[in-house]
Amino acid sequence: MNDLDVFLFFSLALISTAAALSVILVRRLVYAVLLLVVMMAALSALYVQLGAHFLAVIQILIYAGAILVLFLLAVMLLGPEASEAGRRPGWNRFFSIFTVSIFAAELILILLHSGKNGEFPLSASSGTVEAIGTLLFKNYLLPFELVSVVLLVGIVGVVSLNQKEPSENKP
Amino acid sequence: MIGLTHYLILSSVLFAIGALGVLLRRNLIAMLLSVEIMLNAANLSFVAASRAYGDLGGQVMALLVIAIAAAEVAVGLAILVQLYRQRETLDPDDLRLMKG
Repeated sequence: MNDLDVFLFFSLALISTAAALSVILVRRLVYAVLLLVVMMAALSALYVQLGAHFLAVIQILIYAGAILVLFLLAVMLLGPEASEAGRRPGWNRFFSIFTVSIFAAELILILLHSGKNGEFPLSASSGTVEAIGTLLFKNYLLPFELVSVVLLVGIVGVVSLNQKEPSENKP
Repeated sequence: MIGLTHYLILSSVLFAIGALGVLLRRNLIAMLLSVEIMLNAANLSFVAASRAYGDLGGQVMALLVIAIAAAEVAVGLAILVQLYRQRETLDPDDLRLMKG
């Protein structure tokens, strides 16, 4: 662990936090989705720093490549009038910010006082494809299969949701 | 020096930002985007803990979370598209069909 790692961590943390904040503050949804891509890239760099190389690649491939493209597709399908997002008025907004800041402060206080700040050597790869694959197919086989069932249910659900009604086809 | 606590604090800040987005925005797509931020915050804490304790199970769990997020986004966006076709709105405050 050297100074470069510290500098990288803080700059990546700054980038991801700023990107996440702008995702929830910017009004146009296309910009929000593209800013979320920035956040995914910063998080993926953090994963590389943590030695999780395979997960970093998966993060870019699945999140930035598939999920956010799906979001962009939906935003463009629904058109610009759906993407003009309003803000919640007055009191609601105040209470939301109040509650969430109390929640965040409590989390950070607990973390700071928990005492366990395990220093660990960064930038040493441990999450290779081989190691993760072995673990996934040995110890986590049942969750893996359950996830495949969930994905199948998702596919069937999307197809049946977007199916045109039979009566709509022959007016 | 950077330790587990730094990553966990970054993760909780990101989670709080996501929760704030769900509470503040009045557009269902933006709320789904905020849920994605929260899922990524959880993933970051999984990976950091996996590194700190030398157990790769955290990375496998993050992988499973990504797969679940993909399914969730696909179904959620399909529901939103259908909703917009029928109601012409994505504002959750306008969807009050079940309100007495």
